Amino acid sequence: MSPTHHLPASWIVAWAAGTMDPAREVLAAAHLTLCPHCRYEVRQAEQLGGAVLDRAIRADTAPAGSFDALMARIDEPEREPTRSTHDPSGVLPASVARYTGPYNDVRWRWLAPRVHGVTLDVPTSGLPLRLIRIAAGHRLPLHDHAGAERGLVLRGGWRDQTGHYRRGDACFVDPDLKGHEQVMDTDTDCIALVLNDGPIEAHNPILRLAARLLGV
Amino acid sequence: MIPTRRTRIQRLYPPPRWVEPRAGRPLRADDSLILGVAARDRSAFAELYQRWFGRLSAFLRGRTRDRAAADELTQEVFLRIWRRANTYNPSRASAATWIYTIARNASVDHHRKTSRPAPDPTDPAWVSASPLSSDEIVARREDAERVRDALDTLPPAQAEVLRHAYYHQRSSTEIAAVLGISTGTVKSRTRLALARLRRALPWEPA
Repeated sequence: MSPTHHLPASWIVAWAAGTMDPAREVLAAAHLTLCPHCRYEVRQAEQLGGAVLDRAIRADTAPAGSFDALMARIDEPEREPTRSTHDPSGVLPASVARYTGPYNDVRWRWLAPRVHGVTLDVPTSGLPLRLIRIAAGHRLPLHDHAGAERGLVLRGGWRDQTGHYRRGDACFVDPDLKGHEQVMDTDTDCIALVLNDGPIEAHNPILRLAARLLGV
Repeated sequence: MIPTRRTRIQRLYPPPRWVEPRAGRPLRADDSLILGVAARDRSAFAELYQRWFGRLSAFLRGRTRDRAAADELTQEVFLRIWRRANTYNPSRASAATWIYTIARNASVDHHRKTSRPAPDPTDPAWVSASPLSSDEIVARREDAERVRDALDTLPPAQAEVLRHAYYHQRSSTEIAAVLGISTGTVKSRTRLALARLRRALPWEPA
Protein backbone atom coordinates (compact mmCIF):
# COMPACT_ATOMS: atom_id res chain seq x y z
CA MET A 1 0.00 0.00 0.00
CA SER A 2 1.22 3.51 -0.80
CA PRO A 3 1.95 5.94 2.03
CA THR A 4 -0.46 8.77 2.83
CA HIS A 5 1.91 11.07 4.76
CA HIS A 6 4.46 12.55 2.35
CA LEU A 7 7.72 14.53 2.30
CA PRO A 8 7.30 18.34 2.56
CA ALA A 9 7.99 20.47 -0.55
CA SER A 10 11.29 21.76 0.88
CA TRP A 11 12.54 18.14 1.08
CA ILE A 12 11.40 17.35 -2.47
CA VAL A 13 13.33 20.37 -3.81
CA ALA A 14 16.37 19.67 -1.61
CA TRP A 15 16.45 16.08 -2.93
CA ALA A 16 16.11 17.23 -6.56
CA ALA A 17 18.71 19.98 -6.09
CA GLY A 18 21.18 17.68 -4.28
CA THR A 19 21.45 19.91 -1.19
CA MET A 20 20.48 17.45 1.57
CA ASP A 21 22.81 16.31 4.29
CA PRO A 22 23.59 12.58 4.02
CA ALA A 23 21.37 11.53 6.97
CA ARG A 24 18.31 13.24 5.47
CA GLU A 25 19.17 11.63 2.13
CA VAL A 26 18.99 8.17 3.71
CA LEU A 27 15.55 8.95 5.13
CA ALA A 28 14.33 10.57 1.87
CA ALA A 29 15.64 7.68 -0.28
CA ALA A 30 13.84 5.21 2.02
CA HIS A 31 10.56 7.12 1.68
CA LEU A 32 10.98 7.44 -2.10
CA THR A 33 11.48 3.66 -2.37
CA LEU A 34 8.08 3.20 -0.74
CA CYS A 35 6.18 6.17 -2.22
CA PRO A 36 5.29 6.47 -5.95
CA HIS A 37 3.58 9.83 -5.26
CA CYS A 38 6.77 11.49 -3.97
CA ARG A 39 8.83 9.89 -6.76
CA TYR A 40 6.54 11.69 -9.20
CA GLU A 41 6.97 14.95 -7.25
CA VAL A 42 10.74 14.49 -7.42
CA ARG A 43 10.59 13.98 -11.19
CA GLN A 44 8.74 17.27 -11.54
CA ALA A 45 11.23 19.00 -9.27
CA GLU A 46 14.09 17.57 -11.35
CA GLN A 47 12.48 19.05 -14.45
CA LEU A 48 12.74 22.43 -12.74
CA GLY A 49 16.46 21.72 -12.32
CA GLY A 50 16.64 20.85 -16.02
CA ALA A 51 14.89 24.11 -16.92
CA VAL A 52 17.29 26.10 -14.70
CA LEU A 53 20.31 24.40 -16.32
CA ASP A 54 18.84 24.92 -19.79
CA ARG A 55 18.61 28.64 -19.02
CA ALA A 56 22.13 28.85 -17.54
CA ILE A 57 24.41 31.52 -18.94
CA ARG A 58 26.92 30.04 -21.35
CA ALA A 59 29.92 31.50 -19.55
CA ASP A 60 32.61 29.82 -21.66
CA THR A 61 33.09 28.04 -24.89
CA ALA A 62 35.00 24.80 -24.55
CA PRO A 63 38.77 25.45 -24.45
CA ALA A 64 40.68 24.20 -27.51
CA GLY A 65 41.82 20.62 -27.05
CA SER A 66 39.53 19.93 -24.07
CA PHE A 67 37.31 17.60 -26.12
CA ASP A 68 40.36 15.62 -27.27
CA ALA A 69 41.52 15.40 -23.65
CA LEU A 70 38.08 14.05 -22.76
CA MET A 71 38.15 11.48 -25.58
CA ALA A 72 41.54 10.27 -24.36
CA ARG A 73 39.84 9.29 -21.07
CA ILE A 74 36.70 7.85 -22.60
CA ASP A 75 37.65 4.22 -22.02
CA GLU A 76 38.74 4.74 -18.42
CA PRO A 77 36.93 2.35 -16.09
CA GLU A 78 34.21 4.04 -14.07
CA ARG A 79 34.64 4.47 -10.32
CA GLU A 80 32.85 1.55 -8.68
CA PRO A 81 29.46 2.76 -7.49
CA THR A 82 28.81 2.12 -3.80
CA ARG A 83 27.50 -1.43 -3.67
CA SER A 84 23.85 -1.51 -2.68
CA THR A 85 22.76 -3.84 0.11
CA HIS A 86 19.33 -5.30 -0.38
CA ASP A 87 17.36 -6.60 2.57
CA PRO A 88 15.79 -9.89 1.38
CA SER A 89 12.98 -9.51 3.96
CA GLY A 90 11.91 -6.26 2.22
CA VAL A 91 11.56 -4.43 5.56
CA LEU A 92 14.53 -2.08 5.15
CA PRO A 93 14.99 -0.08 1.93
CA ALA A 94 18.51 -0.31 0.46
CA SER A 95 19.51 3.18 1.67
CA VAL A 96 19.03 1.96 5.27
CA ALA A 97 20.35 -1.61 4.79
CA ARG A 98 23.58 -0.06 3.44
CA TYR A 99 24.32 1.00 7.04
CA THR A 100 22.54 -1.60 9.18
CA GLY A 101 22.74 -4.74 7.04
CA PRO A 102 19.60 -6.80 6.35
CA TYR A 103 16.79 -6.58 8.91
CA ASN A 104 17.46 -10.03 10.40
CA ASP A 105 21.11 -9.10 11.11
CA VAL A 106 20.49 -5.73 12.78
CA ARG A 107 22.40 -5.48 16.09
CA TRP A 108 19.80 -3.88 18.34
CA ARG A 109 20.85 -2.07 21.49
CA TRP A 110 18.57 -1.50 24.47
CA LEU A 111 17.48 2.15 24.74
CA ALA A 112 14.53 2.07 27.13
CA PRO A 113 11.98 -0.48 28.29
CA ARG A 114 10.44 -2.05 25.14
CA VAL A 115 12.53 0.25 22.92
CA HIS A 116 15.67 -0.84 21.03
CA GLY A 117 17.72 1.07 18.51
CA VAL A 118 20.80 1.17 16.34
CA THR A 119 22.70 4.25 15.18
CA LEU A 120 23.51 4.64 11.47
CA ASP A 121 27.05 5.82 10.83
CA VAL A 122 26.12 8.65 8.47
CA PRO A 123 27.12 12.33 8.79
CA THR A 124 24.41 14.73 9.96
CA SER A 125 24.08 18.21 11.39
CA GLY A 126 21.70 17.15 14.20
CA LEU A 127 21.58 14.07 16.42
CA PRO A 128 22.55 10.75 14.79
CA LEU A 129 20.14 8.96 12.47
CA ARG A 130 18.62 5.97 14.28
CA LEU A 131 16.67 2.90 13.38
CA ILE A 132 14.40 2.06 16.32
CA ARG A 133 12.22 -0.88 17.27
CA ILE A 134 9.31 -0.31 19.66
CA ALA A 135 7.22 -3.19 20.99
CA ALA A 136 3.71 -3.65 19.56
CA GLY A 137 1.08 -1.78 21.56
CA HIS A 138 3.65 0.18 23.60
CA ARG A 139 2.69 3.70 24.70
CA LEU A 140 5.75 5.99 24.72
CA PRO A 141 5.98 8.26 27.77
CA LEU A 142 4.65 11.78 27.12
CA HIS A 143 7.52 13.89 25.76
CA ASP A 144 8.55 17.22 24.14
CA HIS A 145 11.08 17.80 21.34
CA ALA A 146 13.87 20.37 21.65
CA GLY A 147 14.20 20.31 17.82
CA ALA A 148 12.28 19.00 14.84
CA GLU A 149 11.79 15.22 14.63
CA ARG A 150 11.42 13.35 11.34
CA GLY A 151 10.25 9.77 11.53
CA LEU A 152 9.67 7.23 8.77
CA VAL A 153 7.66 4.09 9.57
CA LEU A 154 9.13 0.93 8.03
CA ARG A 155 6.98 -1.68 9.76
CA GLY A 156 3.94 -1.60 12.06
CA GLY A 157 2.79 1.92 12.88
CA TRP A 158 1.63 4.40 15.51
CA ARG A 159 -1.00 6.96 16.31
CA ASP A 160 -0.41 10.38 17.83
CA GLN A 161 -2.21 13.74 18.01
CA THR A 162 -1.40 14.40 14.35
CA GLY A 163 -2.61 11.16 12.76
CA HIS A 164 -2.07 7.47 12.11
CA TYR A 165 1.24 6.45 10.53
CA ARG A 166 1.90 3.15 8.76
CA ARG A 167 4.67 1.70 6.57
CA GLY A 168 6.22 4.37 4.35
CA ASP A 169 4.57 7.30 6.12
CA ALA A 170 6.75 10.28 6.97
CA CYS A 171 5.93 11.77 10.39
CA PHE A 172 7.48 15.23 10.77
CA VAL A 173 7.01 16.72 14.24
CA ASP A 174 7.59 20.38 14.93
CA PRO A 175 9.23 21.39 18.25
CA ASP A 176 6.08 23.50 18.88
CA LEU A 177 4.11 20.31 19.48
CA LYS A 178 4.09 19.91 23.27
CA GLY A 179 3.26 16.60 24.90
CA HIS A 180 3.89 14.21 21.99
CA GLU A 181 1.93 11.07 22.77
CA GLN A 182 2.64 8.06 20.57
CA VAL A 183 0.87 4.71 20.85
CA MET A 184 2.20 1.84 18.75
CA ASP A 185 -0.16 -0.29 16.70
CA THR A 186 -0.76 -3.73 18.15
CA ASP A 187 -0.27 -5.86 15.00
CA THR A 188 3.55 -6.02 15.08
CA ASP A 189 6.61 -4.33 16.57
CA CYS A 190 7.14 -0.91 15.05
CA ILE A 191 10.33 -0.30 13.07
CA ALA A 192 11.11 3.32 12.17
CA LEU A 193 13.91 5.62 11.09
CA VAL A 194 14.18 8.66 13.33
CA LEU A 195 16.18 11.85 12.86
CA ASN A 196 16.10 14.48 15.63
CA ASP A 197 17.50 18.00 15.58
CA GLY A 198 17.49 18.15 19.37
CA PRO A 199 17.01 15.94 22.41
CA ILE A 200 13.70 14.43 23.52
CA GLU A 201 12.50 15.47 26.99
CA ALA A 202 10.13 13.18 28.87
CA HIS A 203 7.48 14.96 30.97
CA ASN A 204 8.02 12.58 33.89
CA PRO A 205 11.04 13.93 35.90
CA ILE A 206 12.13 10.44 36.99
CA LEU A 207 12.29 9.26 33.36
CA ARG A 208 14.20 12.43 32.43
CA LEU A 209 16.77 11.76 35.14
CA ALA A 210 17.05 8.09 34.15
CA ALA A 211 17.57 9.07 30.50
CA ARG A 212 20.40 11.46 31.49
CA LEU A 213 22.07 8.86 33.72
CA LEU A 214 21.87 6.21 31.01
CA GLY A 215 22.87 8.62 28.26
CA VAL A 216 19.91 7.78 26.00
CA MET B 1 27.79 23.79 -40.87
CA ILE B 2 25.93 22.92 -37.70
CA PRO B 3 22.31 22.91 -39.00
CA THR B 4 23.20 20.47 -41.78
CA ARG B 5 25.05 18.22 -39.36
CA ARG B 6 22.11 18.28 -36.95
CA THR B 7 19.66 17.27 -39.67
CA ARG B 8 22.01 14.47 -40.64
CA ILE B 9 22.19 13.27 -37.02
CA GLN B 10 18.42 13.43 -36.65
CA ARG B 11 18.09 11.32 -39.77
CA LEU B 12 20.77 8.92 -38.59
CA TYR B 13 19.27 8.48 -35.13
CA PRO B 14 15.51 8.45 -35.32
CA PRO B 15 13.77 7.71 -32.03
CA PRO B 16 14.02 4.04 -31.08
CA ARG B 17 10.90 1.96 -31.51
CA TRP B 18 9.99 2.12 -27.82
CA VAL B 19 9.50 5.86 -28.15
CA GLU B 20 5.90 5.90 -29.26
CA PRO B 21 4.98 8.25 -32.11
CA ARG B 22 2.28 9.77 -29.87
CA ALA B 23 4.97 11.38 -27.73
CA GLY B 24 3.68 14.76 -26.59
CA ARG B 25 6.63 16.71 -27.95
CA PRO B 26 8.73 16.47 -31.09
CA LEU B 27 12.28 15.16 -30.75
CA ARG B 28 14.74 17.99 -30.38
CA ALA B 29 18.33 18.30 -31.49
CA ASP B 30 19.67 17.34 -28.04
CA ASP B 31 17.53 14.19 -27.94
CA SER B 32 18.93 13.02 -31.27
CA LEU B 33 22.46 13.87 -30.20
CA ILE B 34 22.17 11.78 -27.02
CA LEU B 35 20.70 8.89 -29.04
CA GLY B 36 23.69 9.30 -31.36
CA VAL B 37 26.07 9.15 -28.37
CA ALA B 38 24.31 5.95 -27.28
CA ALA B 39 25.15 4.54 -30.74
CA ARG B 40 28.79 5.58 -30.08
CA ASP B 41 28.86 8.36 -32.70
CA ARG B 42 31.78 10.57 -31.71
CA SER B 43 30.71 13.49 -33.91
CA ALA B 44 27.32 13.55 -32.12
CA PHE B 45 29.21 13.56 -28.80
CA ALA B 46 31.47 16.41 -30.03
CA GLU B 47 28.42 18.48 -30.91
CA LEU B 48 26.68 17.75 -27.62
CA TYR B 49 29.93 18.80 -25.90
CA GLN B 50 29.98 22.14 -27.72
CA ARG B 51 26.32 22.80 -27.00
CA TRP B 52 26.48 22.01 -23.26
CA PHE B 53 30.03 22.77 -22.14
CA GLY B 54 29.37 26.47 -21.36
CA ARG B 55 26.17 25.83 -19.43
CA LEU B 56 27.56 22.87 -17.49
CA SER B 57 30.82 24.55 -16.53
CA ALA B 58 28.96 27.69 -15.36
CA PHE B 59 26.48 25.54 -13.45
CA LEU B 60 29.16 23.42 -11.78
CA ARG B 61 31.24 26.48 -10.93
CA GLY B 62 28.20 27.89 -9.13
CA ARG B 63 28.18 24.71 -7.06
CA THR B 64 31.87 24.15 -6.34
CA ARG B 65 32.94 27.84 -6.27
CA ASP B 66 36.31 26.64 -7.55
CA ARG B 67 37.40 26.88 -11.18
CA ALA B 68 39.73 23.88 -11.33
CA ALA B 69 37.32 21.58 -9.51
CA ALA B 70 34.48 22.74 -11.78
CA ASP B 71 36.53 21.98 -14.92
CA GLU B 72 37.36 18.51 -13.61
CA LEU B 73 33.69 17.93 -12.73
CA THR B 74 32.54 19.09 -16.17
CA GLN B 75 34.77 16.45 -17.76
CA GLU B 76 33.43 13.88 -15.30
CA VAL B 77 29.84 14.78 -16.27
CA PHE B 78 30.61 14.30 -19.97
CA LEU B 79 32.24 10.92 -19.22
CA ARG B 80 29.04 9.88 -17.41
CA ILE B 81 26.93 11.14 -20.33
CA TRP B 82 28.98 8.96 -22.69
CA ARG B 83 28.69 5.91 -20.44
CA ARG B 84 24.99 6.27 -19.66
CA ALA B 85 23.65 7.54 -22.99
CA ASN B 86 22.08 4.13 -23.63
CA THR B 87 19.81 4.64 -20.59
CA TYR B 88 18.36 7.89 -21.97
CA ASN B 89 14.65 7.68 -22.77
CA PRO B 90 13.40 10.87 -24.46
CA SER B 91 9.78 9.98 -23.72
CA ARG B 92 10.52 10.01 -19.99
CA ALA B 93 12.68 13.10 -19.50
CA SER B 94 13.90 16.01 -21.57
CA ALA B 95 17.59 16.13 -22.51
CA ALA B 96 18.08 19.10 -20.15
CA THR B 97 16.55 17.22 -17.20
CA TRP B 98 18.56 14.07 -17.92
CA ILE B 99 21.82 16.03 -18.19
CA TYR B 100 20.88 18.00 -15.07
CA THR B 101 20.41 14.86 -12.93
CA ILE B 102 23.78 13.50 -14.12
CA ALA B 103 25.49 16.81 -13.27
CA ARG B 104 23.77 17.01 -9.88
CA ASN B 105 24.77 13.44 -8.93
CA ALA B 106 28.35 14.02 -10.08
CA SER B 107 28.60 17.19 -8.00
CA VAL B 108 27.12 15.51 -4.89
CA ASP B 109 29.38 12.45 -5.29
CA HIS B 110 32.39 14.74 -5.76
CA HIS B 111 32.20 15.73 -2.07
CA ARG B 112 31.53 12.24 -0.71
CA LYS B 113 33.24 8.92 -0.24
CA THR B 114 30.04 6.99 -0.93
CA SER B 115 27.67 7.73 -3.77
CA ARG B 116 24.29 9.33 -3.14
CA PRO B 117 21.57 6.75 -2.33
CA ALA B 118 19.14 6.26 -5.20
CA PRO B 119 15.74 4.58 -4.91
CA ASP B 120 16.17 1.29 -6.74
CA PRO B 121 13.32 -0.60 -8.49
CA THR B 122 15.12 -3.93 -7.88
CA ASP B 123 15.03 -3.32 -4.09
CA PRO B 124 12.75 -5.95 -2.43
CA ALA B 125 11.21 -3.06 -0.43
CA TRP B 126 10.18 -1.17 -3.63
CA VAL B 127 6.53 -0.09 -3.96
CA SER B 128 5.37 0.36 -7.58
CA ALA B 129 2.96 2.97 -8.85
CA SER B 130 -0.38 1.80 -10.15
CA PRO B 131 -0.29 1.42 -13.97
CA LEU B 132 -1.12 4.56 -15.96
CA SER B 133 -3.74 5.00 -18.62
CA SER B 134 -2.55 6.17 -22.06
CA ASP B 135 -3.99 9.67 -21.45
CA GLU B 136 -1.83 10.00 -18.38
CA ILE B 137 1.25 8.86 -20.32
CA VAL B 138 0.69 11.56 -22.92
CA ALA B 139 0.18 14.15 -20.18
CA ARG B 140 3.46 13.18 -18.55
CA ARG B 141 5.39 13.61 -21.76
CA GLU B 142 4.31 17.20 -22.06
CA ASP B 143 5.59 18.06 -18.61
CA ALA B 144 9.01 19.40 -19.61
CA GLU B 145 7.58 22.16 -21.82
CA ARG B 146 5.01 23.14 -19.25
CA VAL B 147 7.59 23.17 -16.46
CA ARG B 148 9.68 25.66 -18.42
CA ASP B 149 6.64 27.88 -18.99
CA ALA B 150 5.65 27.60 -15.33
CA LEU B 151 9.19 28.54 -14.24
CA ASP B 152 9.11 31.65 -16.45
CA THR B 153 5.82 32.85 -14.97
CA LEU B 154 6.65 32.29 -11.28
CA PRO B 155 6.61 35.39 -9.04
CA PRO B 156 10.23 36.66 -8.87
CA ALA B 157 10.57 35.97 -5.12
CA GLN B 158 9.68 32.29 -5.63
CA ALA B 159 11.86 31.94 -8.74
CA GLU B 160 14.80 33.43 -6.83
CA VAL B 161 14.52 30.81 -4.06
CA LEU B 162 14.47 28.01 -6.67
CA ARG B 163 17.48 29.49 -8.47
CA HIS B 164 19.49 29.51 -5.21
CA ALA B 165 18.46 25.92 -4.47
CA TYR B 166 19.12 24.45 -7.91
CA TYR B 167 21.81 26.64 -9.35
CA HIS B 168 23.89 27.38 -6.27
CA GLN B 169 23.03 24.17 -4.42
CA ARG B 170 22.07 26.03 -1.27
CA SER B 171 20.04 24.54 1.56
CA SER B 172 16.98 26.33 3.00
CA THR B 173 19.10 27.67 5.87
CA GLU B 174 21.77 29.00 3.49
CA ILE B 175 19.20 30.62 1.20
CA ALA B 176 17.60 32.30 4.23
CA ALA B 177 21.01 33.73 5.22
CA VAL B 178 21.84 34.95 1.69
CA LEU B 179 18.45 36.61 1.12
CA GLY B 180 18.06 37.87 4.69
CA ILE B 181 14.71 36.15 5.21
CA SER B 182 13.57 33.45 7.65
CA THR B 183 13.91 29.72 6.91
CA GLY B 184 10.12 29.54 7.25
CA THR B 185 9.74 32.06 4.40
CA VAL B 186 12.14 30.06 2.21
CA LYS B 187 10.09 26.92 2.87
CA SER B 188 6.76 28.62 2.20
CA ARG B 189 8.05 30.14 -1.08
CA THR B 190 9.29 26.68 -2.10
CA ARG B 191 5.93 25.18 -1.26
CA LEU B 192 4.05 27.87 -3.20
CA ALA B 193 6.33 27.49 -6.23
CA LEU B 194 5.78 23.72 -6.34
CA ALA B 195 2.02 24.12 -5.86
CA ARG B 196 1.91 26.59 -8.74
CA LEU B 197 3.91 24.22 -10.88
CA ARG B 198 1.55 21.38 -10.02
CA ARG B 199 -1.45 23.48 -11.07
CA ALA B 200 0.25 24.22 -14.39
CA LEU B 201 0.58 20.51 -15.09
CA PRO B 202 -2.33 18.54 -16.47
CA TRP B 203 -2.17 15.49 -14.31
CA GLU B 204 -1.48 14.39 -10.78
CA PRO B 205 -1.34 10.82 -9.50
CA ALA B 206 -4.17 9.67 -7.26
